[in-house]
Amino acid sequence: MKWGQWVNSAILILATLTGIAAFAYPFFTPTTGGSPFAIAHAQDAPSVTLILTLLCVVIIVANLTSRQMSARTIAVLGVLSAVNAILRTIPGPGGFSAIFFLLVLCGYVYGSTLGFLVGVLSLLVSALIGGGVGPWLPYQMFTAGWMGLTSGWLPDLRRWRIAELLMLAAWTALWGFIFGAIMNLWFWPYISTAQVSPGQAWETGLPFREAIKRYAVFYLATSLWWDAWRAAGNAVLILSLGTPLLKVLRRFERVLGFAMDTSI
Amino acid sequence: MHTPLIRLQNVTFHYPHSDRPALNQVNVAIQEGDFVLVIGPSGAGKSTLLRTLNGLVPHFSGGRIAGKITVAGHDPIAEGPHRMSPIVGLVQQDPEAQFVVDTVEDELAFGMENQGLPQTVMRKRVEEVLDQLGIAHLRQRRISSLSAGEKQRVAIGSVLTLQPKVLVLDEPTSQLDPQAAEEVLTTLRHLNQDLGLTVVLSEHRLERVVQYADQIIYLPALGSQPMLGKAEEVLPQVPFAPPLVQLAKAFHWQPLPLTIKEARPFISQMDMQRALPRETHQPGLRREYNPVHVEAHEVWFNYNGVEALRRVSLRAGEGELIALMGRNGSGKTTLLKHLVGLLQPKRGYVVVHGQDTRRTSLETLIRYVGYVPQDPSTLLFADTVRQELEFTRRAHALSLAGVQSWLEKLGLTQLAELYPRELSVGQRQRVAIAAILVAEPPTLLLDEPTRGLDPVEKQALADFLRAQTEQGRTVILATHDVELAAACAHRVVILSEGQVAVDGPTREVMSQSLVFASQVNKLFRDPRLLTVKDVLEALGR
Amino acid sequence: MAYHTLTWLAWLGAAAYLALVNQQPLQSILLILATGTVFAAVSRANQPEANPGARNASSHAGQAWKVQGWSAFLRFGLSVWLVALFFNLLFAHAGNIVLLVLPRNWPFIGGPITLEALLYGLANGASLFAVLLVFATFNLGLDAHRLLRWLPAGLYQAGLIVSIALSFIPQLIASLREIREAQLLRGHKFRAIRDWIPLFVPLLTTALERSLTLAESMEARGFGGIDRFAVADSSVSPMPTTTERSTTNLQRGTTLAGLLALLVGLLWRATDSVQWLGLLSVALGILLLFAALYTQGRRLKRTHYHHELWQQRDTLVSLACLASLAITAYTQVRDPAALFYYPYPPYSPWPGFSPALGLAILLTATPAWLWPSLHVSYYETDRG
Repeated sequence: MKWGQWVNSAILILATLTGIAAFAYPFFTPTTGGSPFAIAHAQDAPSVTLILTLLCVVIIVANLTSRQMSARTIAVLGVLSAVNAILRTIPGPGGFSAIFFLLVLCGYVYGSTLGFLVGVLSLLVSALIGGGVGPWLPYQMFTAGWMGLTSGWLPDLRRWRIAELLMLAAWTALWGFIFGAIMNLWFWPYISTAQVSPGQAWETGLPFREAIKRYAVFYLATSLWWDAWRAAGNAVLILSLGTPLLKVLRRFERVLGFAMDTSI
Repeated sequence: MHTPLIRLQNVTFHYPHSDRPALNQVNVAIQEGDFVLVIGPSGAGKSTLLRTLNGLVPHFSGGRIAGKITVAGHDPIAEGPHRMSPIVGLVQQDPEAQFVVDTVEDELAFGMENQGLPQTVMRKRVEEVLDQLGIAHLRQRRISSLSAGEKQRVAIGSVLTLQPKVLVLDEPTSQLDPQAAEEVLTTLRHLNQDLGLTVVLSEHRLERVVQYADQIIYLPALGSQPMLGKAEEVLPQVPFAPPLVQLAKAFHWQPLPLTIKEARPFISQMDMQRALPRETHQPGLRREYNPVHVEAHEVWFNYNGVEALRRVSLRAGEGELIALMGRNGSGKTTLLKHLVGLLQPKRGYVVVHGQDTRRTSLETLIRYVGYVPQDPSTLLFADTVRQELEFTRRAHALSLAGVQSWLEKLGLTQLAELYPRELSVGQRQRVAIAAILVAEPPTLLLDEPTRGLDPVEKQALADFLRAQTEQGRTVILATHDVELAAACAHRVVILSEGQVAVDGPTREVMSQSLVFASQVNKLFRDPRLLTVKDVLEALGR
Repeated sequence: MAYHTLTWLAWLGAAAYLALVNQQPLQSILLILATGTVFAAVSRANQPEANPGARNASSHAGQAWKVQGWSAFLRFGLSVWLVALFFNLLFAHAGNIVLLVLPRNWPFIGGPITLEALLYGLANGASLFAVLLVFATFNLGLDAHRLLRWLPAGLYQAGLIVSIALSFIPQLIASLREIREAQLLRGHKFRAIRDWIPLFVPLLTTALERSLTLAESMEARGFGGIDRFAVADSSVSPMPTTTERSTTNLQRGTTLAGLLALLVGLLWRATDSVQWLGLLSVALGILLLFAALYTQGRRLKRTHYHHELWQQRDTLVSLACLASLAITAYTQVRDPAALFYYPYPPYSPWPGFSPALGLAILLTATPAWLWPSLHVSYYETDRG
């Protein structure tokens, strides 16, 4: 069984690396100006990243669910995904969507595996009910999955109520920004490809550093404020609703009796 | 006697983290083809007993089990629910929460897919089950679009496709209205009588099924010995008997009648006419309740193009108890929501305690009107019962002083520090009522307060509501429960398709109706006799 | 939806591929028109009065949100278009035809604003709009439950979870409303975020309580093998057999190899040099991963009840979509310039048009042309 866990971890890490490579693909625009390769690369960037990201998510999900799961786990995953998908459609008090806070709490209480699955599946469910299937979906699923997964790594601070809440709130806010930054990637190629830097005559590709810099500008200009608002909103949700919701989740922890892997 | 199909020998079971046994040395034997009724107060371990039959207890619940169980030659304790699934089919109480996929046909196939049956076999069985249950017209429907009664029949179908030897149902009708419950019970009778399926059913609506039961298992309380036997043997000894049996018990009718038809010969021997006073005017038959606290005047309301209320008028005075009755979708809940100001009439007006709901804020209205929703779990969220009551007091900006007295009035003192959502249905209902009444509204509205209550709890609720009206509180309840209305309502208002069809004193309305009449009234057909208590009082007992 | 799920997926493949690889504005506009006709056909079929099954469908909460129609989508699509346009216009300062010059000392946006940048922004916006429209159309015609049935065996459990979630959502919306009403009538006021506790706590608790009921109902119908929770209490052995274990290891090995090939190929391709080797490695990786996905879960003994009706028009539409895919792929390999638009010098700022791609685009409009007359909907034919 030890061996199997190692393989599982290896799959998770490799799939994640591949996913990140796929994310970063738009930034690696070859600098061989005007060559057919550059052109080909520029064209396939959106589809390559899209397909590979989707594939990586699917592989991780398939691997995590490869063993026969108990009906209890399946049912609770379905229900939590549905609740999270519904929360996403309720505009929060300030207009932001409340998608992160329950996810972080679930990952924190029920562990990494469940957190990853709730993250991935709740975004999928919400896309299916809200008509949100699109090229952005794989990125959302991937990022939300990792948000849930890493929340399972947080230390269990249930004895220090205040510290626990602060930690979760900060964590949620941090992930709010990461989520926003990754979400913008899917349409970045439409804006970045073959752009020229000021003062230069022309150049198809951009060096990696320049590409990142431009992306940062793009992110600042388009979605930073929105992301900041959403991150803050979800952090506030954790601070104000965290304690009672944690209590509910923990109450069911015993009844549900998860025997999920803790290998990741 | 042949060897029984189901046999429990000295079965003892503890839930995890519990020292009290849920089942204590239980012995049960059930013959093949029997129709078995499991009765008892809520929380007495009926569900636990039923779940031992397919191994959910202890495999799903956890906990410790001792003793021996045999079902059709299999041992559910050793084999577990997965391998018991082709032998025992289980249907649960909540029609909302037992479906996995979206359409009826796929749901019927789910169990067979798990068994890995070939497609041709699955098709054949789905067709058979659709016909047996009379739900062929629903096959393509989405489950979310079905009515509660249809959902329960689909749930029955989804276990029947596995062709089990035993069908186990855990209070399948407790969340249903009478028509839907009747559909489900008729289906079960048909499955038992025409197909020879063994049916084990826990149920509170005894008057509907008791005549079909070959055996009754009565569980008196958690961890005590069950009482087994034929209806005629068991019923006279339990506090759960339907009104007819209670009468029979009082007058020593033998053999025990289980239907109105069987009871008729006995009453022809009784000289009720002479026993009853000539005076048809009974106190409370035509009484004016003043002042009028709640008045709906020619209210019209529609949503999504459906006329939900059409020119409905209703007046309720101080200390009056009104039962709103009628089919599902006849507008009972819509009317209640108007009376508390949650909905506002499109035409007409509603005045409660001198406030017109169209011009008064909800915040002001709820100081006068309390509303207990159908499902207590929509209300309950605090960690203890006491906190639940305190929350309402705070929301109304009242001091916490009144909490203790309401805990006492509803018999909740023992439960005050427990988690409300782990209480039994009846206890939860009481907590919900307390959580509303603790704000001391002079008018109380209740929507279907008897769902899932056992007959004893129902009687206690009726007495409680009656006592509230005697203290001057106005109570309006929407209910399907004829016996509850007979036991406590001063007046019955029957709604039909958004209109008031009948409005009159309970005795008058019931004695003139066939559907909305209590069992005792159906037997005597006399406005003076609605309940067992009426008969006993008339005869001076 | 009038088409088989696989047909609809084939359409998504053809249309999304075109939308994602094409940058030529004229072709984008043609694609927008072609997809627009399909969008119109699907949304007409989704109208309640046109659809005898709608009474059932409309009570499904998912459907209710989908009926948004053109206006909502147009607003969203156009705003994305504008973002793409302005970003390019203000940040790309290349080109010969200068429209105006912003002061050089303005950070990032300072410099000449050119016609080329305007055209490029418009073109990028158009292809982005086309992507959005293709997916919006797909969403409109998607029956999620039917899609889930086509998941590979390795994803069966994940699909089941999604299916449960989708079936649970209408109930959840109803309880959300009931809880809100109940708490309001109890005197609770929803003002600050803290006031959401009496809404969220009962909602989550009710949901988790229902999940337990559901799990019981699934187990009672033979779902799954042995619940590991129960193993602690009884003596049933959950250990997999040796053959089971070896197939699992084989699948894991395949998955690992596939991922490695994919990662190597991707890095290879990103750092130019020998491009086709990288591509080959990526393709190999994808192949291995799919093999693992489809073999995984085979050992679970399960069968499938459902069948979907494959009609003649499905064959036609699928063939058209495959043809469209083939043309696009061929063009991408043989004549990538036909897809690529680059207005800056030394290229011409004027867009081109490839007739072959035009044909490929028109082929994606076949679902709209072959749309069955509205009175014979899927529900009726399947019932009859």
